[in-house]
Amino acid sequence: MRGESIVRRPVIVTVVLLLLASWGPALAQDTLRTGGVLKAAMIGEPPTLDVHTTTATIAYQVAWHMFEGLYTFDKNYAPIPMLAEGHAVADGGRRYTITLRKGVRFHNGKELTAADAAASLSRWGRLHTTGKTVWKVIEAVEAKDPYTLVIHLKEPSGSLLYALASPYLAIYPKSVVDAAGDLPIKEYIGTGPFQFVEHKPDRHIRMVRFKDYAARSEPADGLGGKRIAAVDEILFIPVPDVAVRLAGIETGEYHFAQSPKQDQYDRLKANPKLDLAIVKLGAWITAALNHKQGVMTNKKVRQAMQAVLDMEPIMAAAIGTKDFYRLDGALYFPEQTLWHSSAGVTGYNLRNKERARALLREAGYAGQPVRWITTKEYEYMYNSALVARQQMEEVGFKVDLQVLDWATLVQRRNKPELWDVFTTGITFSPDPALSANLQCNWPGWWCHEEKERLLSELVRESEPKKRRALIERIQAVFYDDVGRIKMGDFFTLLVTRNLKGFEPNPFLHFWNVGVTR
Amino acid sequence: MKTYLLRRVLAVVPVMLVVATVSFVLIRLAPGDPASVLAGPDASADDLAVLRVSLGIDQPLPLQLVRWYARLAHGDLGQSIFLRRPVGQAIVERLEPTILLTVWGTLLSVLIGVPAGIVSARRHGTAVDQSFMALALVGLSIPNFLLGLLMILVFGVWLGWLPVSGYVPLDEGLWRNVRSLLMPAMSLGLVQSALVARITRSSMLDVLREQYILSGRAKGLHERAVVYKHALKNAIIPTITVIGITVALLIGGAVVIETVFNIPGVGRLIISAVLRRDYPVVQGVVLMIALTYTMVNLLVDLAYLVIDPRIRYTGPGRSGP
Amino acid sequence: MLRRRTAVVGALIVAVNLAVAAAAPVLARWDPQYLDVRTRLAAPTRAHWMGTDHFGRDVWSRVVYGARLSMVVGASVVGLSLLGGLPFGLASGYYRRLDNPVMRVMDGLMAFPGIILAIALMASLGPSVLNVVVALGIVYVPRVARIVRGSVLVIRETPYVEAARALGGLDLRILSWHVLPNCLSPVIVQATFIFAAAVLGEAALSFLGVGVPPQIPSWGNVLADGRLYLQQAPWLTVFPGMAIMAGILGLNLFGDGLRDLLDPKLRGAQGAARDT
Repeated sequence: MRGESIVRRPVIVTVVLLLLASWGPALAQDTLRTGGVLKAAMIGEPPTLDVHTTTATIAYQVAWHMFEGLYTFDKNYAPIPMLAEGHAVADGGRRYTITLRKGVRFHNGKELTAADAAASLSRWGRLHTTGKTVWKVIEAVEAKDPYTLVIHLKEPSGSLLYALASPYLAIYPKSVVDAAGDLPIKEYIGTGPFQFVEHKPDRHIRMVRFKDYAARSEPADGLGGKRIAAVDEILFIPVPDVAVRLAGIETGEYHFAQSPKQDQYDRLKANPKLDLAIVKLGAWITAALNHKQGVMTNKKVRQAMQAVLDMEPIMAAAIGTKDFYRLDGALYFPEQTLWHSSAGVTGYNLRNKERARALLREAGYAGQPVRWITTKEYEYMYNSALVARQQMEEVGFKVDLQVLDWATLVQRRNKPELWDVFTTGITFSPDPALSANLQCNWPGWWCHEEKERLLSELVRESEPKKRRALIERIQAVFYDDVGRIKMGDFFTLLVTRNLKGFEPNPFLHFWNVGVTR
Repeated sequence: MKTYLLRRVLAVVPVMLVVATVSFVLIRLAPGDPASVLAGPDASADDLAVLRVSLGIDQPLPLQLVRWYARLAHGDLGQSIFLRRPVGQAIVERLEPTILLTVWGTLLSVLIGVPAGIVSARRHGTAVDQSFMALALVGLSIPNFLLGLLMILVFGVWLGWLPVSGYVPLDEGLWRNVRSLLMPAMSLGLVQSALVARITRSSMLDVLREQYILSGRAKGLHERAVVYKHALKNAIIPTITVIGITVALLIGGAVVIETVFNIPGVGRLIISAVLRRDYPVVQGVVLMIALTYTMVNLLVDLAYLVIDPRIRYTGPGRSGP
Repeated sequence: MLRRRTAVVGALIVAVNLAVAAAAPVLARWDPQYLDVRTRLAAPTRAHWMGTDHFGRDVWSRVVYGARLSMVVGASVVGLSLLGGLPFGLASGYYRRLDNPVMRVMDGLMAFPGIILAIALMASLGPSVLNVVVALGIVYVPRVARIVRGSVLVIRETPYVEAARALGGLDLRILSWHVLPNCLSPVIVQATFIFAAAVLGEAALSFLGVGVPPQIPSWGNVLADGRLYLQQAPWLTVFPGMAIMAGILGLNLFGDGLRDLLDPKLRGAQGAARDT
């Protein structure tokens, strides 16, 4: 008898523990449900909430609490199913058969079907910049039956799933798509954990928990898995002035303040009420060179510029604190372990004044002013240009720095006769092939035969190791031909207060996040 | 007098027409347009063309101008491109902080400036007068945004007494609202009070001199009191002018102060509209402000008529805006 | 007596300003655009009298060159507004037929708050020193025109001018020989105030980011840069601020004194009013 109880107690304990362990995450995520209103102070108003029609980051950051896509990204930024159940690939990579989950409801109560997915996909392909690029390889999209979507491709693509995971590829009901056509959608109906209530421009965008949300069962994995609306309501409040945003979170008015300036880090760190996180997957600063017209069409001039730049002071002026930038010449971030490599990075941070002078002489540079357009509305763009200009002028360049307002800059960027260099930031994208900025028609018009060939191979290739090899070769071309100049990576600072479950992530989201006050 | 009145009111129309035309032309001269700002830098030329049609800016300019006039005749200011609501509504939503700021600023400038001017005039030539006027000159010489920055530094950063920026609307509490407007209003009001003080003093002195000569030698306290009372009454006129000018100046000053203190008022609205090329908002706000200016001037002139019809054409201070 | 002293003190300060502006290359110890990121945001030291900004540029040098820019902008704006305002004012005051239309247009322009007109003009013209001068000049043309017109209206009725007209003199001759010289004193006084206002205007425009290009040293740019670091580096605001105040104070003192010297009649309320 005693023998039995000795065995039984540990067994019972183990069983109880196991049960708790399996319920635990469920329990934890349910205790996550705190209710309350989450107030997020954003850098401004999204230009629209119809994410099919914009490439503005802030648009999806707000909208994707209401909308979901067929796929999304896991913690390694690889695509995993979201509204889809799974997929099968056939015909040498030319046919994707995607099965949808059953019983997923839109905010209007109707069930999600493949017809909705097909309509949304087509509209995105018609209206969205990335969508249009992806659509070039798509032959047809058909809703074979209510839960099956078939995508026929013209050629195999390694990027399709990444595209389907784009936060801009939101699935709307077919009725909404049909009613809107090419004009912006009139109502916001999605499948997400939050549903739209109201949008008062310059005051707030309000969403409340969607009671009939069909969550996935797996635990959260990056952006995928179970999404819970832990709070009752989210208020996205546009606060364009960063000082006011920060003041608001320091006084407890907001739970989240977007994009604080990195040099506020030390001051904010000292405040025990704030939670700070540094997200390293941010963006990199680049100087785009005009390959179509002007002095930068001369390869030796470009190489001279590449040779002279000393990136440390440039990044220091642009970003301010050392905690928030790093010098790295690769086209992708070290955190993207699949794609990051230093092979082929031959021209980064050379700091070689003599070589630059020699190259300028060889190029026959006669003092033509290098017209550099930038704007003060993004300080890092202006700051990096100013420092780079001085470095270039030291070796004989003449730089005509034109500081414009954003509206003028956007307009001038498209006119090759008006500029030679402009600065901008390239945000990280999970799929190397989908980066718009490596394309030939992106301002800068860097069209290089070998690069184009490598890029189209990259789009077709799905195998990660082969993709990586292609990337290394693209990097080599990037530096040899000086497609653009990369200055360095910079990180984002995230500031939150009284939030529970908030995971720092380059993709901002507030599901699975509760408020403690 | 009635014809004068009618003429003045009617004169507003051509002035507004000039304003409407100039603002229409001016903002369209700026490079870029709302379509490219709205669609973002990566939009294609086709996307932009489609967007321009839906915004109504693809039409030839003269046609757009005529449409603008036609809408104005109906009192329709159009629709803001970025705020997606009628321009009139956008303005109304931002009126509260700007009006409060202007009112507080004017009040401050009058409450400080008028007594200071009177005291200076009464003690003409003494140390008090000289120091007041010296202070006034210093006040005139400081840019209002610099005063704002210095106040932020002292009261906001070092002493921590007042919030460094941001605006708390009235419906969130009167005290908090006043607190958020204290430094901005002082930046505007203190600088303006210098002007008010100088003008009040000067006009008091003018009138005093006149009265003194008219009444011959003042015999005893009784006469002097009468002289002063009369002087004050007559000095009110230029003070009214000053208030008119002040309101006008403060509306302009509010533009900069709202930026310094981050107050979501009409000033910030117009700056962001100009930068974003939100044509309807620029045209509408400029028109509204110009109308306000003109109305204030009209009211000031009417006040003259009521107080003293003689000074209709030779009124002081008409060199001002 | 006091007046004379005021004018003298004012003139002195203005002279100092002009001297600083002219001697900028000597007085500035560094190239105002030379940046050295390693020494950014340094407090005042022997090497950098007013400290360095966030690019490591010497603030003292930028203030000194800013004085030069302000003097140039101020003088040019006065010149431009006189060039534009005098003809309109003369024409409007002398010819009754032209009076109404011209003044309506001037009123229309003046109905814009000056700074908003300037901002809109700068957005159209683009950032440059020349464009700031043009924009501010346009803002002040109506004000000059109004003053000139006022004077002309009075002078036109004087027996002197009536006689000249009766004698059949050419309008242009009358205008330039008899009318113009007599309206100069209020214009000159106004000119000093426009000078001060233009300096303030450039500072405000550059502070808002729509004035002179940001890398060019100007008082407005220096204050704008300083604003971002108000907490960490208050010297970036305090010292340039004091310099600006001194400069404008001098101009105002000078203007006051000049007005008292030239035309005591204007000492009244009209003169005490400073134009925007």
